[in-house]
Amino acid sequence: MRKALFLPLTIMSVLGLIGCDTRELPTEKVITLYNSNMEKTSRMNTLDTLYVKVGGLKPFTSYKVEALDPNRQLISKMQVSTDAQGIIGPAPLWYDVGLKGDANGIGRPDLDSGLALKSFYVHVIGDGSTDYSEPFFIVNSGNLANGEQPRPVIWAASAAGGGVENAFEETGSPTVTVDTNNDTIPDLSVPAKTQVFIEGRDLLDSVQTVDVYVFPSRSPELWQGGDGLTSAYIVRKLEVATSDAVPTDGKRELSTLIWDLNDPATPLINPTEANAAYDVVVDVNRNGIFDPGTDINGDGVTDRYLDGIDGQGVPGFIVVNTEANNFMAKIIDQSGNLSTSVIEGALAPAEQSLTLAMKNLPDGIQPDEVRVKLLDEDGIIIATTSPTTVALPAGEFLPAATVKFLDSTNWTVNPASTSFTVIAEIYHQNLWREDFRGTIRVIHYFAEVTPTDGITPTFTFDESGKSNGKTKVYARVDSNIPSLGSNSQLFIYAHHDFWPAGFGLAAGNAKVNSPYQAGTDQLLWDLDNTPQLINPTTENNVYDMILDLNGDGIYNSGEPVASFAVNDDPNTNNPKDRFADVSYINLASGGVFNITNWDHWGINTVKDLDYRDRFTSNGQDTWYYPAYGIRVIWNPYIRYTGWAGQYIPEAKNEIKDLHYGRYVDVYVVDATTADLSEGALLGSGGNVDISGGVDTLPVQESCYNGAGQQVVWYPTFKPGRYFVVVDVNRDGKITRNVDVIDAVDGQGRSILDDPTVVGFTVD
Amino acid sequence: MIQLKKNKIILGFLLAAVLWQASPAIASTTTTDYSMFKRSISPAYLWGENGVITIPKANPVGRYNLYVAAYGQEAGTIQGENLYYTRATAMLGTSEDVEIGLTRAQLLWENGDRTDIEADVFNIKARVLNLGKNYLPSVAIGTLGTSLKENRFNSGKDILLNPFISATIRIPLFTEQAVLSGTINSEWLYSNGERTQNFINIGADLSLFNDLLIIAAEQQGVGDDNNDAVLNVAAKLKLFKVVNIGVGQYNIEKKKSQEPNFVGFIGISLPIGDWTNDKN
Repeated sequence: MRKALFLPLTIMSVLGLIGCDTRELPTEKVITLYNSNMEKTSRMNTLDTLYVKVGGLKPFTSYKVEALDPNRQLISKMQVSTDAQGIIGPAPLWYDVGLKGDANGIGRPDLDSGLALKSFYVHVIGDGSTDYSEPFFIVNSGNLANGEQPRPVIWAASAAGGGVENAFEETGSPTVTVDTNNDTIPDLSVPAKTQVFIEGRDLLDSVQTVDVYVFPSRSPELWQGGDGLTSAYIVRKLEVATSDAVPTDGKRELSTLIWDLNDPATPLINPTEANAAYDVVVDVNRNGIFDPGTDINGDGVTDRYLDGIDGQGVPGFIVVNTEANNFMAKIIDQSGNLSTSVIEGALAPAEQSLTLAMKNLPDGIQPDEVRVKLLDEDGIIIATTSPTTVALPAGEFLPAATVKFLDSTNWTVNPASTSFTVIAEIYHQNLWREDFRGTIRVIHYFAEVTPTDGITPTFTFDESGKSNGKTKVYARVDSNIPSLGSNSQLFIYAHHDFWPAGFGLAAGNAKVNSPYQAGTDQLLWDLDNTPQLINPTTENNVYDMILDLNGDGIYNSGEPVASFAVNDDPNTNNPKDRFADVSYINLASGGVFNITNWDHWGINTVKDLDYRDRFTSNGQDTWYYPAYGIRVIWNPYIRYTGWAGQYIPEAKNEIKDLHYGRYVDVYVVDATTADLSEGALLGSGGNVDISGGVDTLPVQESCYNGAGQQVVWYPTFKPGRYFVVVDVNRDGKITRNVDVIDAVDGQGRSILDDPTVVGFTVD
Repeated sequence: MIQLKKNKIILGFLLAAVLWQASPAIASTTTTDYSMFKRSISPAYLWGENGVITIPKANPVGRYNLYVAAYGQEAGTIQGENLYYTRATAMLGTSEDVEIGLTRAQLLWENGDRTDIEADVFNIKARVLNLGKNYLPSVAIGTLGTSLKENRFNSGKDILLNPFISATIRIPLFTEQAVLSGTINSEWLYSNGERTQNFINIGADLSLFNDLLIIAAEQQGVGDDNNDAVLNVAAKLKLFKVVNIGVGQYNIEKKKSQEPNFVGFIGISLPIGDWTNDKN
């Protein structure tokens, strides 16, 4: 007895000498590690996520937290703020632990290992007086545990022999584009991810063929031993031969194309949360039944594995909804150009018509299930037209149709008409729904003055910045007007439906003013010079050209007026565009999900991501763990324009083969002073972050990226209206086709639909 | 002359673990990862006596000898206050050939406050071959063990073992006042039926004036597969026969530019005598 007590008593007395008192911290330790199930453990499964919690820091202060390898090279990092107690997280710091990148940064499970150990430092730096490192290690299993049969490792890939791919793209998705010098070009070397390959490793030598199935995901429910495989599958492939790349290792490999989403026989169009997630089962013994394996020693853990699965408890892969099959409609004129105006008078209607071109109509739709209505300015239906045919264009997966809705047959404009409305309605799922609504402006003019492009009469011009566009407005004046003289003046004003006699034509109020010059067409307004017109809308795209014959600066009854329109061009690469062409999506969330049983891949368990338009300033209505605050949550079903590739190296010393993902900077900016134009600066000198510091976060496509853990603003929030700007390429400015902005309300309307929409409001 | 005296069950386990050495090495843990792990979990050996620096020597601490020791290094600052990463070890020789110990990691704040970081390590070592005091090697086997989950040791699945086998040879340089000792060590990591590959380490220490001054150096990672070997060096002074103080420099990589870690060491030896009346 005496002997037994000696050692522990001695140890306790010795260890009691170290240090005086225990430092009280709001956390148990300065740094705590978690796996994706929020368990404090150093054992990580392959493809797990490492979360970090840090305590003892200054409240409401921004810190950088890094995972550094033993050589202090960067593995992964984040820049986040502490809460009121000076705590960070648990926040996701390192995704896909156990995945190693190849030379191209493509992640693959590190399967050649038995037990693998990775040592690293967690380094915390910030507040000008904190620079702290603590050593840690984690281990991953190499799938060669006690069992007599290893667990087959199965994953989905976008190419034969490819690395792990968790997010594919719906049928017909276009080639990925990349941003080069602020322009978007197709990158043909990065094909759309529309082919699902199944890769398998660690199959036994005796497994010569397998059956491969893809099912709708069951997660978070588990596949159980005995579950049948021969029904309810999406696609399957029977008797797939395995290969033996390394004859001496006792294992065989699997690589097969299981699902070509561009195959007309197996398309997946416009997936929703109900049909976007899938599981893969590899039936090793080909008995049509899922056999996970046997617990030989009765310890509750399978140790003789059989069938392989990618999607046990969490989806194996998802298919994201891209813009490929979205319904699209555009108004084009008789030349095929985009148009939003018609001209009254001698040129109409014989020389002009307008057509609504529609694509991606519902599969199987009939012509009489599409109708296009033309309404006058009082909302009275002038005409209703259906397409004569609905056809499937070559290379497309959904039908298209065109409807000429305005021509000589329904041209009923009168001199007082100012606009038409065109509406497209589609009968789908037993319901007529409005899918498109557009406005057509009517342009009136006098014959004595005519807008031209310098050569021919022109009533539709292009906005500033359009390359090779009609951006120069000339005035052609009938020289036979008796009262025309050297005092005559030309003005361009915003369109008036009616010009009252006596209206003062002040040069300062006019868009353009110039003395009349006799001779050929007179350049009146160069839209590429001054003043410019950027992103015109139907509210501001029509102008009047006025000829003040006697030059008295007053509009007198009978003085000639001609109207013209300046149309917006979606392809203009204009640095002063009011709102940059980026992904506008909901990001700001309170983190209070209606189902809270989330985890890294538990995407089917989360139905409500609590995207909000309003927060209270004390933040008490947000999720309390790990702290109250506004989160930024990525929806994995949306394909952000900036996801050109998973891995983008940003620093020389970054370890390319350990972090499979990328970093983004998150700014919360005040909507009253925000500039969301392309190229607008973020941070100092531009859109300043008001949340206590710019957050740099590691993110992954198809992930919820912490599912509510990425708090970007801790209370108390300053009342106001805000946008969340995600600088995806971290260049300190808003980049077209790359960055992401939350300027979307709860109804899905973005700032492009309504300029008053913001990301969220704090009351 | 194999001297197996006690703890036969434990030694049997350790020998079984040694047999793992014969299985094919399949893991890909790098030497730098392994080396940093060792720097993080190693008990405070009495440098040059029962361990070179972080790698164990074949020599145990000796029957009924108890020592307590600690080493520490700067961990940085939090809100302007310095912190030190420390590990304190209590080691007991239960026989001439067996030693056991427990090591606890703590953060020490500038004012002496401490914060536990829950990374306890137990260790056991048994000398299984002792061919003589000088010129012939002694061989010891043993293991370290640390928890993978919340510092718990109640489930084998959650314990990471670090079995090792060490061979040490002692060579007096014409006098007992200057003794050179060389150690070669092989070890690996093991948990739940899986293991890493072997890591081969070498070390040497020079003891002067009856252990008054010991200078030690060790290389973690030896062989063709270890091109990222790490070098640790240290020196220790023994005062009044019981107090040891030392300073070391860890993490000197041989092929890469690396920021070394400076380490301070203090140990107190406590020969406690035979309280068991066990004459063996």
